[in-house]
Amino acid sequence: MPLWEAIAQTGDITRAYPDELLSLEAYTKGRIKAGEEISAANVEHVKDLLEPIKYAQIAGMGRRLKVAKTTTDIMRLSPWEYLEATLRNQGRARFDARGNVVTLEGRPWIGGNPFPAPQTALEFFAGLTMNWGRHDASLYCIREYDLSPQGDVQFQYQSGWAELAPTGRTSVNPRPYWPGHEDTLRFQSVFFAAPDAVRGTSFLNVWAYDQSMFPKLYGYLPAFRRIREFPSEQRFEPLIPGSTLYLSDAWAAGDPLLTWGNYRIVSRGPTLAAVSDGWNPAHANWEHETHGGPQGKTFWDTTVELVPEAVVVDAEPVKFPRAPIGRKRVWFDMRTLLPVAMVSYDRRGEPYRSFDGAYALYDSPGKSVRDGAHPYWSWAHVHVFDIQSGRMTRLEQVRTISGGHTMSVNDLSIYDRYLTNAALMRLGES
Amino acid sequence: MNSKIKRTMTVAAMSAGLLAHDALGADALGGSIGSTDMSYTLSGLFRSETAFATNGGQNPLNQTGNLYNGVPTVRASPLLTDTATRDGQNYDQVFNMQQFRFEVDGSVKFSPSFTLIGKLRANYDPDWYHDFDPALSDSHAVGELYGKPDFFAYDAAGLSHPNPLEWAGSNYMVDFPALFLEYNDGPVTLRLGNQQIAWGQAIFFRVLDIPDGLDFRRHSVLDYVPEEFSDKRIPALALRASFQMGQSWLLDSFVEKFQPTVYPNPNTPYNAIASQFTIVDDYRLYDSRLNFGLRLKGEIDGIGLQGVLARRYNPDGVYRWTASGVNRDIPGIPGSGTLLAKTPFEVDSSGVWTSSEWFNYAGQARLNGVTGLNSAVNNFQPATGLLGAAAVPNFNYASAELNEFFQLAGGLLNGTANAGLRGWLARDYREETNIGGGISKVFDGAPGAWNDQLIANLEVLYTPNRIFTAPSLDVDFLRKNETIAALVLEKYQRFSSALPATYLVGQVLYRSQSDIFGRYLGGYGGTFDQAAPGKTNGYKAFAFALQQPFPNLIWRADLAVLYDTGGGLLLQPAVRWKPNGRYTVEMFYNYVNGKLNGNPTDNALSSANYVKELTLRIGGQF
Repeated sequence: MPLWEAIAQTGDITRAYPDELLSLEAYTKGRIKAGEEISAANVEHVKDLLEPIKYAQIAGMGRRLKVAKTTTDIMRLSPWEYLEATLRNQGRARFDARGNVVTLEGRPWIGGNPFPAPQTALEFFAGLTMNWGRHDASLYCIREYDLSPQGDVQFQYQSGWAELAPTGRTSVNPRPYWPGHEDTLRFQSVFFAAPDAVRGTSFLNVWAYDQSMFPKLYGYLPAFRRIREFPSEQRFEPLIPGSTLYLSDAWAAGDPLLTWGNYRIVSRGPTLAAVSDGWNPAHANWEHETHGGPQGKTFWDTTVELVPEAVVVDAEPVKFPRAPIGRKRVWFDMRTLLPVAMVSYDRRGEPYRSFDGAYALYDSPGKSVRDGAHPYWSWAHVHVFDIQSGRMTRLEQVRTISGGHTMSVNDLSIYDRYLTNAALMRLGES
Repeated sequence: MNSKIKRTMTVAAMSAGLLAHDALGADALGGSIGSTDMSYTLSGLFRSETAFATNGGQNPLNQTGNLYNGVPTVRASPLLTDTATRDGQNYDQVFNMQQFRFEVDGSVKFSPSFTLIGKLRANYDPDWYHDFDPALSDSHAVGELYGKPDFFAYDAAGLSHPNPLEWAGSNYMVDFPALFLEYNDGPVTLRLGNQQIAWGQAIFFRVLDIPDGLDFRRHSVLDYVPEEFSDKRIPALALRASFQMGQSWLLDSFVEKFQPTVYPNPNTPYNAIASQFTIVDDYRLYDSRLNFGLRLKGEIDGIGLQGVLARRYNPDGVYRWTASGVNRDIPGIPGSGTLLAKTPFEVDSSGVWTSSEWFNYAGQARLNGVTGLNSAVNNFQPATGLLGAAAVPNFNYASAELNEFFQLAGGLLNGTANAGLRGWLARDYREETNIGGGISKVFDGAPGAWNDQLIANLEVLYTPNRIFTAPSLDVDFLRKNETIAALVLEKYQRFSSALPATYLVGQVLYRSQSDIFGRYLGGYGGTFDQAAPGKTNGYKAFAFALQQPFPNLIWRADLAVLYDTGGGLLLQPAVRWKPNGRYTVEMFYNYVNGKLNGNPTDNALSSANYVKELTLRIGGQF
């Protein structure tokens, strides 16, 4: 049965795939089971299921992955309303003459993934770029750890990342559009709350709906004590000392869709990915444990499961002529069309960096975080690893950060608090 | 061991100690208080800041760097022609600056709407300089600041705390650059308390950045350029209200207690006012005055717009002659002190000794030595007339009359030549209306092209009837309409795939009546043998800055260039090293040349021509 037909009928993927693609134990013929760990000792059995940098980390750097059963209930793999809208709006999306996704009537998109059964590489990235976090408004509270090649935590930061969708809304009113903002795809800001050296630094991106345009970028730098407008086409730069994260990395699709090109499908097949169990409710602030690397601090403890079908898509930064990246390769989970891994390659074609995230439904026995009517689904932690320099950036979503900022979802006050010029000024504090 | 070497080693040892200090953590302290809505943050910084003078560091505006110290100078007057040799204390400096800084930042969030935000800043200067010693020159200059150097006090007569949240002594200052309560409700933000306010897109060229004066103490304006004026803006008690109108428009307004610009004190390393002159700061008369400002900033069809309207006291102040009130006789003329007290002069060895020095320093101050003499005579009749002074028609007469008085003040009647006359000036403040606007556009071009994502910004400020110090220092100030404009071009450009993008900024500044420091252009061009002819066609300067981060931003290089079309240049190459979250090391070299194009008083930067220094800042966070 076609995947989305199975999902539409039962909310479950089981009928769409054979048993050997729904169980790692079956896939490895009993060599690795749910509940066990993948390590250097057994990684060769799943080498084909891993992207090359993750494989190298396990084989040579002491990384371990805990194995969980494959999640078959689709509603545990994305926000409820987003999935409902995806089903409801199937077949109603097209590209207009400028290359932007619109409804059949030519209006801005109305919510959910516009191409749930993508036929082209561009369709994979279109759905991802148009809605990163799959909620209408989000404030992610983040702790970042930047590690040296020797495995020392050299830098720590606390930051907030806010997103708000004025179009394609699925949860909050007014929807699907915020009247007067139909020409805007996204408001997004990032601000740093600690340590003192970067506290108050904040940037606001206003994304035009037209994906051939670079976002408007406003920044508050404590040194300038005022908001200034900044050029936004350079997106492969470290924002803060020690970090290997670029703006371009966000959700594996951090740049406007049409600033990349030469999208092409490379392959498809099963993969191992961290799409569940990423939340750590045992810690009051949801902080995660680490292991591996020279000091035992390089990798998040991560749970992976067998994803029955992933599609690998390449893209090239065609509007960034001197970018350090020649192409990126993204693994999409066909069930959700979420990016489960990204590896970028330098201009010589050598593996350069990986962006490796974990997702979670924030719901466990006795503890649950709600996004409204349903348990909160989101990302939980991310590795950004530069294999050429050996530097690692780890990020985790936490409940709260310095300054009293607390994770928030589908709360429209996020706009006034984090996504305006006045908000940037306020976040700049003294 | 040589004391210079000892001090240098001490700086090195303290810096090394700081780097080795394990107790300094990088993470801010913070947490919740009681309920989850209430939280606090606490973090801080300790930093050693050292500027090594690479050229001896003699500031000619100080007694220890006076250009006439030890230089025999002929004085021709109607009385006689003699030669005077100023009895100064010429000292080379190893350090232009050594200070230790301690900062604590904190906030308490009482509820989602109310937050208290504070920043405490403390600076200590151990005074590792070769200071002016008034006793060695038998100087008895009146005034708190005119004896041994005082590095931090802001002396406004009659006020113990000119800035209510600042405590300063000769070697330390402690203040709160920020201490305010913030209220936020949706698009409305209110801030009440001591705070700094910055406006405008232009960097360093203060066109629309009008709310606050600057604090030239600490490292004058010679600090690390990428920090712009963040450590310099004078905080003021204020109520600031901003209202976000939709995504595109922001209305920002303030009412604040007027706080003037604070200049370095006489005989401190970066002193900007000739130390032969005594300044009486009349800020106490303006201490309760208020500034008001309104700014609207937004965008229409991709074009950024902003408008500014302010009614404020110009923080730079204006200067005029004032009676010294010092009753000290001209040697050999008993009772003359009574009259002299009613003139703007005081007999003292730290004053001006020759007409050559008078005109030279008038030029350095962008004043007119001839009309300056005439104002001093005319504004203080009959005392000046009774002392035999009269207005003069030209340079030669002025020179003769000045020499006559300097000869008498130096003890001619007693057969000595060991003193001069100090001039006394009052600093006042005048209200003005500022009307400004700005327009900006982000250009699109081919990927990687120079015009792609180029930001152009034009800012203009018009001040009708702005009050300027007259080059004559007359009690009647000048009144002129002034236009100030800056064009700013900003661009990120990647030159290779191996290096992160380079940030480039180019700026042009035009000021119709005054220079970059606010000095009236009519006082430009004076020299030791020429009264100031003035400068026409306005003041123009160009600035260029680049910032080159290296991968992971552990290292970053900066370059800032300021070129004054009158022949001045400021160069600051800099490098920053951020090895981890705890420590930051910044090193930069300040090179100022004010003699590129003939007469140095035709450009503004010659006032800091003595600055050739290497600055090292080693800081740790906690």
